[in-house]
Amino acid sequence: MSAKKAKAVSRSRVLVVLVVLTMSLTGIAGRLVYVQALAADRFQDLAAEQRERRIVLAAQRGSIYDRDGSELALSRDMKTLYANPRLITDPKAAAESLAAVVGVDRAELESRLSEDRGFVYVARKVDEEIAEQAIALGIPGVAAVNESKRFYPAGQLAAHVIGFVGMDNNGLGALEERYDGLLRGASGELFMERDPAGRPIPAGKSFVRQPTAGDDLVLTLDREIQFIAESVLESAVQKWSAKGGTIIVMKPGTGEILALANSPTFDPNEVGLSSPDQRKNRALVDVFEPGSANKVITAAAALESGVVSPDDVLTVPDNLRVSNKVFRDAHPHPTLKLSFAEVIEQSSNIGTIKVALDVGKERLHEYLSRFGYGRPTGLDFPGESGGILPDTANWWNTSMGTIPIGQGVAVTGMQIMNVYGTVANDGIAVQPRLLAATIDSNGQKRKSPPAATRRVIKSETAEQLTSILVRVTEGKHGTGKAAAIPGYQVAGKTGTAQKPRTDGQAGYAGYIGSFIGFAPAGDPQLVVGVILDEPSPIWGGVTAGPAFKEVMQFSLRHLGIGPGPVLPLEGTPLPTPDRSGDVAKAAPDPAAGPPVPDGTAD
Amino acid sequence: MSAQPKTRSTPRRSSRNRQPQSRSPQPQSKNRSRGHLRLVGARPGRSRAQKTGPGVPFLAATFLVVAIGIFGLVLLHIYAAQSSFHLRELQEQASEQEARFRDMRLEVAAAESPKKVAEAASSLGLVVPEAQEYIVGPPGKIQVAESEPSLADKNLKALLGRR
Repeated sequence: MSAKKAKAVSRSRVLVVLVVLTMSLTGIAGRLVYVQALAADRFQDLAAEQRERRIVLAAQRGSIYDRDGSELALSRDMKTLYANPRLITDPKAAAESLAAVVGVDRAELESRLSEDRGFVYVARKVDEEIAEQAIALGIPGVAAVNESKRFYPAGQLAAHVIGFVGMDNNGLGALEERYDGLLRGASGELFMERDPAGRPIPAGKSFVRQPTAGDDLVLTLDREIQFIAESVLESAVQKWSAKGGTIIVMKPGTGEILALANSPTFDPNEVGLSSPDQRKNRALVDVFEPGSANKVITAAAALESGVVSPDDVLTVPDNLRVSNKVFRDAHPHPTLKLSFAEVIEQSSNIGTIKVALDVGKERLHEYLSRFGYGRPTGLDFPGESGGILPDTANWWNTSMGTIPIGQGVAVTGMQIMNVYGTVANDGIAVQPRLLAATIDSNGQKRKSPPAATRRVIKSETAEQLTSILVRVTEGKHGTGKAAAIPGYQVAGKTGTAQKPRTDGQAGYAGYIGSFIGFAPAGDPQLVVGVILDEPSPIWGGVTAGPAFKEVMQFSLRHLGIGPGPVLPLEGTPLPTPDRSGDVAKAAPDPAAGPPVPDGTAD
Repeated sequence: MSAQPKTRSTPRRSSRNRQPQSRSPQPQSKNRSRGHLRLVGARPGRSRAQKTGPGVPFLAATFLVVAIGIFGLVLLHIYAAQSSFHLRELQEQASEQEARFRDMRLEVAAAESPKKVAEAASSLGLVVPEAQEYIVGPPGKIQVAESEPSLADKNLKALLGRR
């Protein structure tokens, strides 16, 4: 090779190298511009995604206590097992191993582990031991994380009041739902930079925003009285073969609910095993026709408007025609001469209807409304019903026969309790309440504002009614003798009301038996209501009366309430019933209304 | 003075070395011949080491300071990392203890539930009293008799007094 040729080759090589270098440098420069300028934000985000980690710190859900600070609901951490299906090579084998440990259906688990996703739950909120066993299986992509779970340490106690939460700790029923915003608190955040192994970088950027725990709720419930109410209710339902029932215990002066029991009930720790019927709070959701328990309102309207006084004597046949319908007393009897106090004592339908006809439908409607019929009590409970109180324009011709004796109107257990609470509280209605106080995350206790009050009837009328109601448990012909408590004066009223059919057909089928009363009559401290759905026998005095006695007796003893002053009985009983009257016969009226009860309430 | 021409005849020597060597004799000669003239910026009495710039000790000291600095920085990082791990351990311990406390609270609450208490009482043969008697005192003013405090009362009073 000549020197000239060698020089040319050398030059071409240099040129090639130069070109290659130029191209490489241009490429690098281009990439640099792309990375540092054009796509800088995207790469920064990608880097941050790899390096930075934000963890939501769930707030501790507030606890629920009874009035004495005993825990009714609290939360604790459990383990939740999850998996990354993309890392699982043999979903079938993994599902088989895991199913045996965590107790989840194998086929369901296999289906989840076969999904083309980066995250699936294996089992949520399991015990730590189970989680450890599952992790120990060494299945790639399976890990555990803490998750809070709600517990109700007393099981089904006050389940209908407390309610329950869903899998994500959101309140789904009763007070858990009503006060979910207070109970759930505010979640926090942990931010940190981590190394490729996932460990926090010590000098890296990090901060913690601590979660704010939810407020605790202090209820007005008394755990012991609640337990007795539930036990007594369950026994009564079984003993009298009832479909269900309700017992409520309330302080009339403050409206505080000390116990609210329903049957059937459920265990909020095992909500999935219960039916909607079991979870229903009958005391606030179900409406029923109150029957004779309603006579206290008719009596209040009559006494306050001066239509009658407790000692006024009435001629009471055992049946009476109103429009096209003949109403009867619960038991056949000759025409009697009864004082108005005795009419209530013996729960005479005919005596009550006769007085109500003098009161008039407008005034009767006004008193029903004043006692709270037709609207919720203000307890502010999810799903609370307001009952049914038709306008007088919609009353049938027979309504003046049915409504005074508690048929043709419908109330919740809480509404009828409030009626008797009003009488017990000197004629002043107090809004019932379940929440006594809240305690925030700093331990600051805030008492609930006092319940709203309004005067419904005069103090003198309330006194007269109380004295008349004492006769129901103490009078010679009282229908509520089974509710009497030795050593105490008990004022109350029995109720045996026909139930409207629920199969879509007109008419009535079955009975509601009830007893609602308060004690000590001279200084009322407690109101107790017992309502049984279709007991056998049907009579409220026979079935609900003993349950009332048991719950009231325990509550008085538990709260250390003495017998109090003794009230004189209103309405002098007549020595001998006058049996000289005729039995009224009535022909059907062509202006027929709907099917109405025949007045078999006691 | 014999070094002066030699110095000038060696141009390859560095300017840093050349300057003092070539010029330092000048003041002496000029002092003699011209009296008060001297080189601007030159200070009398400077040592040779100073005149020749930073030497080995200075470099060694600088290196030492930098090394100590780096070592200290690394040490601080190690301590920070250790503290971070320790903090994490303590936080985990605190969480565990808190979880344990909650577990125990739950156990106590379950054990205290009326149903459990009733079952325990029933198994011990306890029954709910069926009736109760109330003693109604005669009307009038109740007067409480003053009595000599018991020994227990005295002890309690003394104890409270000490506090």
